[in-house]
Amino acid sequence: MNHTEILLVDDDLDDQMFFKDVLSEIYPEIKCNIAGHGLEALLYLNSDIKFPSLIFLDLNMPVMNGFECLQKLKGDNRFKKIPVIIISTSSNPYDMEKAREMGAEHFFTKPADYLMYKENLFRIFKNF
Amino acid sequence: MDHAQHDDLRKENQSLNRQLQEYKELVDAIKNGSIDALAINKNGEPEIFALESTDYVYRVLVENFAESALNVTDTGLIVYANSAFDRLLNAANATLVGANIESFLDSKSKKAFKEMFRASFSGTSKGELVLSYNGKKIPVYVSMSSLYPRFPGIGIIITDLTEKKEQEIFTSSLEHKISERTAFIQQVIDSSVEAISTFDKDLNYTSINKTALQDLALSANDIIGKNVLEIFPHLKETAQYQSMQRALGGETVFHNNIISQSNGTVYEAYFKPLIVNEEITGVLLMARDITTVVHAKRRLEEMNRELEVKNTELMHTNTELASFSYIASHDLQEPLRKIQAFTGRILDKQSDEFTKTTKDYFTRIIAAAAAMQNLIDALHAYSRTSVLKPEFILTDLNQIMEDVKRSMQEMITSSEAVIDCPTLPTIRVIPLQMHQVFSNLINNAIKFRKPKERPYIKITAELISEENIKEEVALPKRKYWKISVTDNGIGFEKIYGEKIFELFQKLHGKDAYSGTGIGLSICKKIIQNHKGLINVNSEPGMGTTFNIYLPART
Repeated sequence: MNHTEILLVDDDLDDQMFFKDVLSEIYPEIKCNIAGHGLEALLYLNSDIKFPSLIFLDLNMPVMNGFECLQKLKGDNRFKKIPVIIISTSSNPYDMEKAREMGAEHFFTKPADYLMYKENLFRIFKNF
Repeated sequence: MDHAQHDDLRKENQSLNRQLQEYKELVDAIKNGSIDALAINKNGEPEIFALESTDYVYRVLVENFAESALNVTDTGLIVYANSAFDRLLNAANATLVGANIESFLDSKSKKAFKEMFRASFSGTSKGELVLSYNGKKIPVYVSMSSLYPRFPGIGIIITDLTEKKEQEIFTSSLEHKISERTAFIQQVIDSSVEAISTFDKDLNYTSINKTALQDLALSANDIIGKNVLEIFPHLKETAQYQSMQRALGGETVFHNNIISQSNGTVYEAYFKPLIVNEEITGVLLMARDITTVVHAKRRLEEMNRELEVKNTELMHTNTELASFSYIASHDLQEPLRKIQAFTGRILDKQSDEFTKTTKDYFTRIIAAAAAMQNLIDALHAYSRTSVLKPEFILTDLNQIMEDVKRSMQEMITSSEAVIDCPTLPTIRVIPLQMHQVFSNLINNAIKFRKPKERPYIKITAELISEENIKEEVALPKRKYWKISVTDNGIGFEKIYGEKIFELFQKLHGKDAYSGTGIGLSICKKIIQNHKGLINVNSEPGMGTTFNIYLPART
């Protein structure tokens, strides 16, 4: 699948930057929009824009966390077909299982290792 | 015939006539029964002739008397003795009749006898004497009556006092015993730590022991006979006074907390009915000073409360610590991950521009960050074992072992380790945690292998009873599954047996073996979560055996 525009929902500025940098290294043509938390993401999606082809969603965020946001996305007919990749520092099996049950397409634990990060991200874009 | 001869004959005739007259009188006397016997002086010795008389009926009666009956002459010569006298002295009648009664008297009684005997001539006399015959002393009561003028002698009735005297001795010894016994009981009652008092039906004091007197600081004379309300007017409106009334009604009443008005002493007391011949005669009060007990109890309660507060505090601290270590390990990961990510990216993108030294430093930074990552991961896992409250599920441990082997496939293959595992039991465990335990133990077994020797890991399982677990305290009367993991690795000194389960304990230098020193702490904590035990046997160069004891369902 060809991706032109995606949405990253993450409150951490370092992580936002790192994600964008790595993404631009492997797919410089993909546009990455950013929301600082779940509510901001919903507001963005409800504004008159082109829908992203993938949503990367962090779990631990202020205002509206990842699970609440996921529930809203999957409960809305307009958005529910957009694949949601949970991108979290958590590798808690309980969180993973919960996210999967709520309809997340994939669970991506942010690796510490730069190369692994790059490789994982590359594979996700290949698969979705 | 001459005159003189005639005179002699006349005198002889007169004498014979006189004799005849005497004999006539004697025969008359014998005939009318006023004479029992005749005593005839023969060569200075008395000779007695007993006579059958007309008062036969009286004789039979006298013979059958329980008391001894005698007739004696005025000199004390026995002319008649009934059979009771024979029995009294245990002698044949023939040896008694004709003897002087004085010969049967104890030497100490002779004087008294003589006085009595003399007195009897003018009527009657009575008194206690002691007979003595064949060495036997017999206490008797003697009553003497003059038989004059019909008979020149004295009638004597003798009552055996032996039994009475024995009775008297017995009674007096009984009295002595009773008084000794009473004194003893009084002493026991007085030495009792309980204050004991008794009251009659009107609640007047009838007795009181020393302890009670000491407690009241009064003397017995102040109290005995007085009404309880006279001594303690304030009692009238109290429950104790009611209890005394109830005791009079037959109830036993117990008070566990009577506080003395005068000195604050605390008592517990029983009020019991005093029952004599099934009739309530009064009240028994037994009170015990329990002041020290009450104070000690109060202190104990205070201490228990303090302990409870401390326990709650401790539980809070523990919970806080657990959540703290969870949050810390979780949050510590964030910046660390970023350090790793950014340094990794720099190394990847710009290492060509680095000097050799910079590149070396960067590699070291990344290695240090990775080591810290390991520590945090392990700490995280450790804290998670207590934070989570997972369910116990009936689990086939063989399945867990298969999962562990699969997840460690790479390590097992590269080290060419052999894992010899028989059939394991199916028991209630927290599956993820048991996975962790097996995984850590097998990981250790492979990690601490001997260089150039193929790791061989043998796992065994057996059901044992609690007595066979020596090292640690196990639940009594429970069966345990003992699961042992034995390796042929480098082993370690016995003294580290306990230490290796402590947090961050590492027995080997950093360079030789990687690790965080948390793995076995996690194992221990997980086994504790399962209410089990874990211990280790090891010897340097001889391999190591970890024993896990998990309670089996009974």
